[in-house]
Amino acid sequence: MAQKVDQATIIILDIGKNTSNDDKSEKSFFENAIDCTKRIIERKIMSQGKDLLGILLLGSKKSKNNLAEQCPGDFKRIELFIDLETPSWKMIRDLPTAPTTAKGDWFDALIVAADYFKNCFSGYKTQNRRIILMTNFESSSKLDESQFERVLNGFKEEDFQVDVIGYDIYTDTYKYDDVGYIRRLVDGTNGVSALFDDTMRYLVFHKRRHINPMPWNVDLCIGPNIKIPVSSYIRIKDESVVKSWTKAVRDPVTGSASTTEAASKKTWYINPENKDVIKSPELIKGFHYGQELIPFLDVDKTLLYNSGSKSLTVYGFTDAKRVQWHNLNGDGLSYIFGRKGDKKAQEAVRILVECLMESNLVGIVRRVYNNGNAPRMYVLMPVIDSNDYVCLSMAGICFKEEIKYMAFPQIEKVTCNKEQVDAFKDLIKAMDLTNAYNDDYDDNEAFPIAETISPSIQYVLDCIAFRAMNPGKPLPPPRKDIMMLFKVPELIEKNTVDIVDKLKTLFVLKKVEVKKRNKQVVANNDEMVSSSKTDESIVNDLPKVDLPVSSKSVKIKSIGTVDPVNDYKALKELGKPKKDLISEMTNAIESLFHSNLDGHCTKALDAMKVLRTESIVGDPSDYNNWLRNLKIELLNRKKDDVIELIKQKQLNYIIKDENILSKYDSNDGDESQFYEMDTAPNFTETDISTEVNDFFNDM
Amino acid sequence: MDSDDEIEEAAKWEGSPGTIVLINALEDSSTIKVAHEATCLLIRQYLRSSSSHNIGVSIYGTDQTQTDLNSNNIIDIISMDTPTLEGYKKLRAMDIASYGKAKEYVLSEVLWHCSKIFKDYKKKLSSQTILILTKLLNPPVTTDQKRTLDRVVNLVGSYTKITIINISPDDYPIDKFYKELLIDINKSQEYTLPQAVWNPNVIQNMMYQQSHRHLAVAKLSFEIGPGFSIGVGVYSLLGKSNQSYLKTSNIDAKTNETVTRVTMRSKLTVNPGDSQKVSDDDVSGDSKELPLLDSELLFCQEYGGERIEFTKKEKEEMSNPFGPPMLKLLGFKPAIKLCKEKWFLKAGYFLYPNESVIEGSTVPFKALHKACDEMKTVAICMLCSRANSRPSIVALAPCTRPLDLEIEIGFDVIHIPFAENVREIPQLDDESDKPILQKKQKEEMNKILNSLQFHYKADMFENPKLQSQYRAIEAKALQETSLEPFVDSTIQKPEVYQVIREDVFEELFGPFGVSSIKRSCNTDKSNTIKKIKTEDINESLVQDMIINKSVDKLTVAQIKNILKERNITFSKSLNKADLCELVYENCTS
Repeated sequence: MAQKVDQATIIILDIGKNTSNDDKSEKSFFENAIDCTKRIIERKIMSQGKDLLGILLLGSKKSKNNLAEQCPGDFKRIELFIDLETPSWKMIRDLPTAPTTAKGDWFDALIVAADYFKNCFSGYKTQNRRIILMTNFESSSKLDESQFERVLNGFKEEDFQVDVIGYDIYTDTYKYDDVGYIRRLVDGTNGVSALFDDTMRYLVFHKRRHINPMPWNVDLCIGPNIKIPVSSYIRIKDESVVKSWTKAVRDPVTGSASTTEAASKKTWYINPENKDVIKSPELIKGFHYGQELIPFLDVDKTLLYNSGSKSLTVYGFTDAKRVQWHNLNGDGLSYIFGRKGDKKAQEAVRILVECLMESNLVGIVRRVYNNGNAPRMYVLMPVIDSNDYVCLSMAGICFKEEIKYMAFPQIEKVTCNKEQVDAFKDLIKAMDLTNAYNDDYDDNEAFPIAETISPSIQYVLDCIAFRAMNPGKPLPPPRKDIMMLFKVPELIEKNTVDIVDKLKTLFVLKKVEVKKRNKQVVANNDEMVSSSKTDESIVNDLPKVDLPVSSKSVKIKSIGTVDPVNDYKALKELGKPKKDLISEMTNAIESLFHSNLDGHCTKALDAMKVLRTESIVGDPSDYNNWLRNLKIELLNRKKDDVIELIKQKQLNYIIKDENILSKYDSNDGDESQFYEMDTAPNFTETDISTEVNDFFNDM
Repeated sequence: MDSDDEIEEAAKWEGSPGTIVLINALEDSSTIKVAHEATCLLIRQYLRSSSSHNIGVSIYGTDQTQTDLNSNNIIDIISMDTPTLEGYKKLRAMDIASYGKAKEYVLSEVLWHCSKIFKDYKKKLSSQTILILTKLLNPPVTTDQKRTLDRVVNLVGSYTKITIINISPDDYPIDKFYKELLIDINKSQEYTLPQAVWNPNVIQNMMYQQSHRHLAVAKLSFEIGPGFSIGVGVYSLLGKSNQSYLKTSNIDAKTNETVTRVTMRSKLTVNPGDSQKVSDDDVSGDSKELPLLDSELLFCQEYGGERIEFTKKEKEEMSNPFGPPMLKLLGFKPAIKLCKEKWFLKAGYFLYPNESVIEGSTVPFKALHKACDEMKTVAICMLCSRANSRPSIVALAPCTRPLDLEIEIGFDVIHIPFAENVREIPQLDDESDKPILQKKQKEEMNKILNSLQFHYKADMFENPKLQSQYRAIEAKALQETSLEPFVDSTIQKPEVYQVIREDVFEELFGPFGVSSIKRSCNTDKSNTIKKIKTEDINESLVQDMIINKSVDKLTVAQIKNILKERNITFSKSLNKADLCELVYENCTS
């Protein structure tokens, strides 16, 4: 059986001498024609429709076509460059790069194209056959009136459409008689004609992926016995731009997908207790209830809901105002018509629409999409569309369980004055998008609903097209045409300047400084951060295996000597009690001092600094008491240099000036205070070694 | 990229909320009963949603004392934790009156009790809430009033939210002590007196509303003009329609333990030329497997007969090249341009002023709301809610009390469809010939419309599938024999339809063509063979099928399994009939 195709197009591309341009400052006809052809092919590829495309080169060095073979000597300089086939990137890559020195007859090329459609193009079925002619008519044709008439009638009979791109065939002052003929041909076949600039502007955005409309057929039930056969078609839907992505492994040599390795994804289930891999049928589903899991097998199946068969049942009718935008939940909108071919059903739906409209009502229906599917509630709204569709439109409404019952802070008592409201009213008038452009545009509305192009969809398609033609090159930022889609129209922007200035004076607004977390860490230890960053990138690169074991081992449980400062911070974030933190931190600092691996005690001093800063804010006594003991310990071990370092780094006792709770007035001669401390009951003369006593005596 | 899901839980959030429900035992028995019932409903609600909220329930003003902490006249029914079945059972079974009534009303004690609970609680709390269920008629004893107010100031100072729910069947003058208390609770800012409520379901909703964690989808600065922005929060008032199902997990049937799901990407060596056949999830047994790094992974699309490849990073960057999250005003349009019957794309958001981004935002927000409302216009904006979400064009439509919630004002954020979102409708039958009977038909249709009229409310339909699942699970979990009766709110009562004169309708509108449903139903029953489930396949069944030569009733995968189990090798290219033959030849025992 012949394959069905939506459209078959042959482009006749003039690459003859007449299309070159001696003046290098301007784009030649040839360059324009090639760019335009590229764009047409690209758009056809990206829309993934069932379209076929072929290219005939006019003015080629070769003569390669069916008719030239049959009548040697005729139909010269016309090359069937690409057969009618599914558009591909190869077509774009293969396009000629420079004009030839030959010239061809455009009218002959049209006949070749028509002949190709008639005699060489088999195995496909299509209603829509087009020939696009791109020439500047500077190479004239030898056609005569009688021949032309025959061809014109033939084209009409076969229902070919002839379009001309790149030449204004409707100017009154044309140089060549040929233009008169082509105008008759274009008009006679309901073709169109456009200049390159206009064509490129028209083709600037990608076409939507083609989707064949499929009806969902059901009976609209009102009560038990009224059943109107209807068909529902999806009208609005938020669909993904591209089909799902396939995954491949990158070949380290070529950088592209490997031919010897394939990516695969495996999922398995592990019992966390004994690490057994659980497989069906041991693997069953359980429902969460609080923190419990109720195995599905234990649940009484007779209590579960049976939605019944596929249906669309009217629950009732309600005031249209009761269904607001925020009631709608679900995915898009469908239009419902009476079943195709059933005049009575169509009439019933039409009358229902009219009655709903007149009494300002909407219907609420229960829909079961297919036998056994969970039911959902929908609203049926009457609609008379701009395309004159008279039908019901169907959108989902929420269930009670979906309402989140949010609470917001009360703002009832906050008031705004009339001047403030009026300023906004002025803004509304100035920013009227229904009149956004100067009068010379036909349509003055900016951002027309459902006609505005989606910038993100366009960008994704752009990226794919770019990568196809430029493998390996980095992706470009969005085109200017795409960025323009989100811009406030110039006229409106100009209108609003004064009003916005006025608004600024009417309201008192203060930006709240957002505190960035973890910033301190960065400031403290640059080296450490940079190393942890590289760690991170390595970690991110690893396959994500969420074994419970691995995640546990990373967690910090206590402060170690490797990185006490960060351990402290991490644990503090996790909410570890302060008392524990201080004792762990001091232990870590002590071991660092006593081992003193780096000779300068940098790590220990850094840790002390953090602890001291923290203690100044909180209770200083812990720090002070510990420091006192530490100093004694250090003296015992004859580490006077360390004590000096502590002093140098200004890590001595927290004094009263820093925190009122401190018992130290100053750090000068601090050691003498040992004897005055009443908070250290276990600290008596007898505990002090003779060395310490000597130390104090020397002072 | 294809799923632009804005999952709220993705936001970084530490700890979960903590709520203490306090029931005043000094009130009369009917008030206590309502409070008790509402609290049960609240706990059940949290059990059903398996949330990680921490909830405690205490009764104060009792004669007896049952608490781990050193407080008097307080019964801790559920100590603060994630809700458990035991706690729920205990709460339901308890008789509050049996604990007696305290001699005098001391409120400060229980507030001190609450701050101790919050302070000693072992888990990190993202918020602290106290819900007090009481009447506001009798104040505490005079000696306690000053102390109570001090406690409230302390609690509010440590970011604890206190909400009083006024339980009463009718309105009454609220005692002046509580007015003072409310001033302190609201940090001396303006407030409204709590309305009296009596319906346990309504109280449950109020408590849920006050205690539930609600995260904003995004907190943004809304750029109204150059250099003029206000702070707003973007919220989802509705949960996703396709996610309103009970949470399930995979468990080990032997131990009833939750199992951990491990997913790993790996690369396999394949024969060159054979690579097309290996799909994403298909793993052939004999090839070599190595872990696959993210940097080695390529994402491909097929266009124009070629495979176009992107790295993971490129794929992510493609989704939003337009900059950071934002909301930017583009202009205004008349509200009538925005018809929901034509342009509904997907569930919208809700916009509310947010002072935490820009202080003073509420005033301009209100002014804009009023201006839009009075001029019947909507604001058209560009919204990008997350760094990786696709930016879209939205309309801000002023609304009041959305979904009958206690939200005074705000804007509905309506997604406006792009040209790419609109599908074509196929050519329809020509409707040129106008019917003659129209007037009579319309009269009859209007009669039907009138007889089926009702007042729609946002919360009137419950998801019947979910509700029946809840009941089935509760029957099991609570070992209950008497279940709460199940009413399917999505089905209209049959008597409502009785007024419709079907014969008249049939006469005026019918007869319709044969309905497709009936036909498909009939054929369904007679012709289709019921599929055999994989878990039902056992040795004896296979043998029976071999004898009956009916192996072809199984799916290809099932037949392959049978062969694999017997270690019979077969070529992958075999069709179903060949596979069946293999089974007949090799599998008879």
